Amino acid sequence: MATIQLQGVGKIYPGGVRAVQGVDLQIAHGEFVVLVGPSGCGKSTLLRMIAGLETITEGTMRIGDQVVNDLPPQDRDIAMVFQNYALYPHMDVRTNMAFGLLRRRRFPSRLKALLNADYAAGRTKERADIDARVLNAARTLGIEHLLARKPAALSGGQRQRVAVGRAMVREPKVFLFDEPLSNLDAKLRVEMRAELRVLHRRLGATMVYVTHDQEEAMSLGDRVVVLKDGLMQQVAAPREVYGRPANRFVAGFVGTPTMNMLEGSLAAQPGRMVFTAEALQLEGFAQAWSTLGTTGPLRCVLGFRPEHVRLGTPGGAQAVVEAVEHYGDRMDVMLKIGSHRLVARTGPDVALREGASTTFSIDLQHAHLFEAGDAGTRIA
Amino acid sequence: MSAAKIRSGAVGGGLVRFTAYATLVLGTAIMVFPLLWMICVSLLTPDKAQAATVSGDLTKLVPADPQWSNFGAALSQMGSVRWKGFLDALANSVVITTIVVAATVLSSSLVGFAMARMRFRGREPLFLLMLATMMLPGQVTMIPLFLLFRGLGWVDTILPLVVPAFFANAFFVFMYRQFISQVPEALVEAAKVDGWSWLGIWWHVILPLCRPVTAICAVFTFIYVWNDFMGPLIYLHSDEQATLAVALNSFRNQYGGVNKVNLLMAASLVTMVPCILLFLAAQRQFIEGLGKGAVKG
Repeated sequence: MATIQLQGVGKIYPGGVRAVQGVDLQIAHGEFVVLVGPSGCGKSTLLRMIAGLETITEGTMRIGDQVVNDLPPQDRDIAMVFQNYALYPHMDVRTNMAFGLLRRRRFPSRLKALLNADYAAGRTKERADIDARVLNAARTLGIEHLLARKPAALSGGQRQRVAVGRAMVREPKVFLFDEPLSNLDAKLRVEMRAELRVLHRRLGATMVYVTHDQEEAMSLGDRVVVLKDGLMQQVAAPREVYGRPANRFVAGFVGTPTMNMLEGSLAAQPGRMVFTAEALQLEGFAQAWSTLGTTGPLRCVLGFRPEHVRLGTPGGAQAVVEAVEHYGDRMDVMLKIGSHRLVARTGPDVALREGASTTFSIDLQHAHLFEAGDAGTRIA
Repeated sequence: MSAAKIRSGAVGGGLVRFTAYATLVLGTAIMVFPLLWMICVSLLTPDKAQAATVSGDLTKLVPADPQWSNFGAALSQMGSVRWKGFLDALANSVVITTIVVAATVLSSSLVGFAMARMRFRGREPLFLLMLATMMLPGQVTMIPLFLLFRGLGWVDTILPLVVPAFFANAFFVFMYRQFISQVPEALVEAAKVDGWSWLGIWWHVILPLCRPVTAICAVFTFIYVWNDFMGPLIYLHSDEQATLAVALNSFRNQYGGVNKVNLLMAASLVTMVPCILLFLAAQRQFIEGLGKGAVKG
């Protein structure tokens, strides 16, 4: 079983820089987990620690039942796809893909094959098996016509496929991906994303994937691990990360455009809750908020997604349309309300003029409350 | 206006190009002249060769009737037994040079790889210490080394000439280290994840990528060892052990200085041929780039 267990895993570099701290994570067999976060959040370091390319300075890591803290990458039975593909430039695609298998041969010696017929037969069969596995992986990825080429003669997308193929032929316990799509153009990236998802379903292997692109993370992962400053912020299914972010950071990091945040105070009034942010007053709040048990004003942050802002609602709050971005199937509208700026997402056919006034309301059933401050945990 | 400018530019460019080519041709001529002189003299009869070398008259150098037999005559007359002296010396030179070139390339690249990619305590001081050994002139270490090898009983064997090559050459280690530092770290990591040990990575990934440095290392070492006179002269005493460079010197002494200058030049020319051929063969490698297609370009 290719499970991965991290218990209190941390990394302190010589010199005292703490890249990762206190990571507790259980990855189930066959799961596709995506580590996502901004640059410098420790996601690549964590992946490299799983690979064995970085030492673990704190905690325990298990792959299957084995503690791998001090196990070199060679002995972990993992395969990794690197950001820059790391194809061996002097080898053709076939050898690049077979390179890991060549290391694990039972009959590696050419000399012994010359002296011993049984050994030679074993060697021939082994070589044929390797070739068959390479061809099989190449067919799956649609690169069988490239097997004789050198990496220099391949396009970015083809190199990326070869790198995935190199990992596939090994049939490892765990696949690790370190931002493998970040060097591709946008269209190819979306295509490859879908292919990786299909590949995961077909192989049923445990995969850990690192990206800084939250969209990629949401579209690929069974679960998403959001990291910031080496600390895990939330581990959950993409839908939950989007719909119930653990804190302000996750709420702001996941989703494009980013979640609207209004700092203000919440107060209970007879039969309702009222959120006030400067001149803006929103009331009649979701049931969940009434369980907060607050009576006096509570400093907090209201967060809501652009798609939960409705424009042109009769009796809604007043706002000025600052800018309109058309995407064909939808529009993103920047609104200004006093000193606040909000983004609303709407259908493509709404008639809005930049500079004009409009009214809006917020679907508070989908809104969130966070504790005040940058790190604010979600409280409702 | 623009036409005039272009014309004057073209004239200026032509002049620069002419000057550059003229300089290059002159430089080449100066470099090639001794070789041409050797070839010409090696094809002359003894009398004509003598006349040409003494008079300094270049026109006398032209071999109107090339004496190809000079080569056979020169080589067969090396040493006391016909042909044996030359063949022994050739075999010795080939054996020593082959071992030294292979050992230097392998050991220097291995040490260079370790210095470039392995993290260990004291790596930098060790590297600096190794570089410092390059500052020592060969003459300084000549006598201590001779005493050492004599103590080991290695004098009049090829061991003093080949064994040190297995312990890397500081200059080539430096070259390999610089080159390997440019190889993307991800390639080494990918090979590690693929299951290869440090030695496996060095042999299968690093060494093939170092072809340009290896070519330089191999050619320079070959030329140095093939032409080395002092080393064999100090350590190899018996005639059977002599290398071509030593045998050539004996040949000169054997025939009293320059009395048979045509044969001497013929023999010298033969000893030079492998160096010239090797250089021509490895020339392309010198300019070959590194890591094409290794990472996204």
